[in-house]
Amino acid sequence: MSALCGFAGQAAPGVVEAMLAAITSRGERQEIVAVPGCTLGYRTTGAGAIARDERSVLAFAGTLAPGVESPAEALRERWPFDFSELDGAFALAHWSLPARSLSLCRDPFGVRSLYYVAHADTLYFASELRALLAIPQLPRTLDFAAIHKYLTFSFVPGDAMPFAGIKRLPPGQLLTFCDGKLATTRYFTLEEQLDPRFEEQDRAVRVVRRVAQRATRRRLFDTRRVALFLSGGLDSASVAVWLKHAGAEVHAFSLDFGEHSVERDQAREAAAALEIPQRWVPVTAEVIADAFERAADHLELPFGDPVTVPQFLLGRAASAAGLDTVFNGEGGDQLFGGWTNKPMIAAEVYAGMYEQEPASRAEMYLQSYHRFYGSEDELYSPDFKTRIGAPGQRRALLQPYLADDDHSFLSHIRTADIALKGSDNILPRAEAMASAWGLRLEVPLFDRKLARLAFRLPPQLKLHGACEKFVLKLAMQKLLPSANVWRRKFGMSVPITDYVLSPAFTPLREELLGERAVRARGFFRPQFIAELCSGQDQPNETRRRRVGERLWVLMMLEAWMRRFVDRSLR
Amino acid sequence: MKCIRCDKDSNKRARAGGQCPHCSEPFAFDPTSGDPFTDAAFNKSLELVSGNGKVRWVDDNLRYELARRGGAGKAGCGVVGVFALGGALVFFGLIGAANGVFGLLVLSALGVVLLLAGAAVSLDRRKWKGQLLSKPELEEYLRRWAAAHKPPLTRIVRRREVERAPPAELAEYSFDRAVICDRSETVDLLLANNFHFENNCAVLSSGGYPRHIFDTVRTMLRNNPRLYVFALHDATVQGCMLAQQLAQSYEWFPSALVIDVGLRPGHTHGLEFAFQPATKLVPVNAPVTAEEREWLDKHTCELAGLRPDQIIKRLYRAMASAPDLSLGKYPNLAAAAAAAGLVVAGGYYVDQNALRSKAQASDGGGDSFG
Repeated sequence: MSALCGFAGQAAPGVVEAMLAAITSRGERQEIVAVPGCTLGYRTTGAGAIARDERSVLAFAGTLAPGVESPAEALRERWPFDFSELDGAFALAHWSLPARSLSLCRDPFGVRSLYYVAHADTLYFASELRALLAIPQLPRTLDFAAIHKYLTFSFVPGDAMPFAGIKRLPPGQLLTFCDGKLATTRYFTLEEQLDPRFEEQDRAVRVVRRVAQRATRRRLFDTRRVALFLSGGLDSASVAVWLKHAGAEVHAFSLDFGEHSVERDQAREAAAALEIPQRWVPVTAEVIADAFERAADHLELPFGDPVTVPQFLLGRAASAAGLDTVFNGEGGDQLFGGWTNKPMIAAEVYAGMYEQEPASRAEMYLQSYHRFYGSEDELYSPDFKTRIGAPGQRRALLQPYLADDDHSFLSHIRTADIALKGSDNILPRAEAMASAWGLRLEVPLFDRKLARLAFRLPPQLKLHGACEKFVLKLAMQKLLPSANVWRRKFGMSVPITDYVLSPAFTPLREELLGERAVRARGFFRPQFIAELCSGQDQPNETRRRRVGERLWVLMMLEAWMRRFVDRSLR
Repeated sequence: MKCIRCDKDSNKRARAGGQCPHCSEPFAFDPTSGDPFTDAAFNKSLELVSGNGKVRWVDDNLRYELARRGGAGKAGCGVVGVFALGGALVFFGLIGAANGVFGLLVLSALGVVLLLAGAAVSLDRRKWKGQLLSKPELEEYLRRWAAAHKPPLTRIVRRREVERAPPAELAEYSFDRAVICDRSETVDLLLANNFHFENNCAVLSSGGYPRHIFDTVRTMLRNNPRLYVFALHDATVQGCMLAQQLAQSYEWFPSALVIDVGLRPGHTHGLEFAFQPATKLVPVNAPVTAEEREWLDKHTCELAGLRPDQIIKRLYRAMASAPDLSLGKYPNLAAAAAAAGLVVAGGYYVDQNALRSKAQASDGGGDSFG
């Protein structure tokens, strides 16, 4: 576990100390290195340190894949190195003394975060948002546009953070700051480049199996005992297989939703077939309500996905079992064409038939998040509406991914999903919930080489008729039970509506979304929220879980506002 | 008659020129001029058919909603007042006559006239209830409504031309399920409410609608050997034969699990107001039970008699309860179907329950999809 922070330019004394004091959860040991033009701060639980010599300093938070003993030193020595092979879960900051130039860099997919803000010719940066918010002289105003986007996506998308001026460096990018000028370049892009050799299915299957295996092995380092969050679906079960093949001692942790379980049998079957010990983490409304506030303490941004607190519980169980590294199966849907792509295909087929319907691909994509897109008039207070900025911001976010070009429709959707759902939601949330328990998170499916491979495969090897992740299923069908490979999978089903509307949640729901709280916040119309809280059957909803999902988004937002805005705004 | 904008009442004389005397806004309808409903009644029907503006509907849904409610709605205060006054006059007139004041019988006569007038108005409304406007009639009323108020945004209106064709690549993919309808209007209802998007579901009519993508979608459906097909139709002879036609047609589905969701006669409880007389006898070889045959010999009933949100929710209920064959729980299809409560028919299955009763949003189990 580690974190970095610092500034390039001039700052008041004690700034880096204040930043480090805000992120003690990332390690008990801290280090500060100040050189002309730049000061770096570092926290760690391990042996890492800021690398330095007379020409440069480099702070590195996270891990490389494949791992090295001293990543900061290894990278500093090779600087400027070839970024084309850089992979892992990290954020880094490098200062060149002769050039008086700062470089900030984040891993290709965004497992670790990196934030920055320019103020009075100085650039402040940190791998944790809290560290920036701890800078005493930094003005902070809430950016309502970011909140508006959160309400659509259930996470904050893009580079603009909910505090005006604070930005998040996109994954796979390098930022340089020199002579007061800031520039960013991409060192990693995913673009469909179909390789005709992979028209041969057997070859594609062999290569996928090999590359995925190596992606997993590269993330083990010298760890042998690891936790695996096993859902029962194909992706996490596949990671279990590859971990075993790499010689790891795998301990599976699976969620038990009791009578609401949808995948419990499959998770049990996978663990039994692979002969790995399995611990069940019981989840009930009471358990979720009890853990809610503690989980929210560890989220630097609002995350409105109901799986957030269950992930927190999994981390607790893994830590209690004495493990310090956790693997999960995230990324399979984004890379290999999971079920989440199918609604967009259906929408594209039937687009444009009726008056008054959203005809654009971007609008359908926004609707696919099933949160508050299209409900703004009902939800937003008049005052909030005036603060969210000009229309079109959300569609503008999607434009780079969804615009028509020579690439396949499926690759457009996958690119959007990787950048948004993957980099801005799945990965930072999972990392936060793992690090809350001192766990190192590894996500082998979000591997650079594996992703490149996935974008070289013909689309039909990903979505084969209606069969999603086809090539992955072929690769694993002899290694896993049929139920884990071929079962129709539709995402982890957290019975969120039952939970949020249960008596166990009433105090929390009242506290965060009761009329008094809603009026005090002033963002939303109390009547709309009261109607949601009543659980009334809505004419336009077939799925009851939409109620819970929407309430969860609002609860998480209010919890985040209390921690990060109410306590810190000036 | 109340104005739906300012909520104030007015009598016919004050409504000269068809405008509200209080806010000067126009009325669309006036029963005193022969219209079958007031603006308030029509507006209420729009609210109900659209789920308070959240669900889109086709014109047939509104026709049935208006027939369900019946004209200007329940007897208003005016009619009740007429009855009360008429009754009081009759009573006092008779009391007076019993006490030798025969002149008061005039009051009784007046009371009887009022009672008869009230009864005529009520009967007239009751006679309206259950009558279905024709499509041209409804079109005209909607035109008048749009002119006086604004076009209802939830009304489904087909675009004259579809603006973009799907990328050719999509023909390589498929859907997990398909709904085949006997009417193109039912297809419109489902698509305009994003049913396809929410449920990864193709929606087509047996007659080839939507024309511009029909062939593409049928090709896509053939790409899924584990396709679930749901037949959705009116309670007519033709409708009840749809599932069999789909199950037996290689051109449609070389291999698919076909489930007849309905509307079958057993699903029509509560829809009596929407019954129409049958116009032809049921063929001898029609795939119907004896009970269904008896019903179909006398009646038909359109699916549009159900409110749109209920059509969607009940259809979803049928999908969510269809057996998940990928679980490997069942030794064969028949066992899976039996576990799901489906009745075996000739090469397909009948869901006797999904359309039978009111459905709400559901959660859990098979609901996980989408």
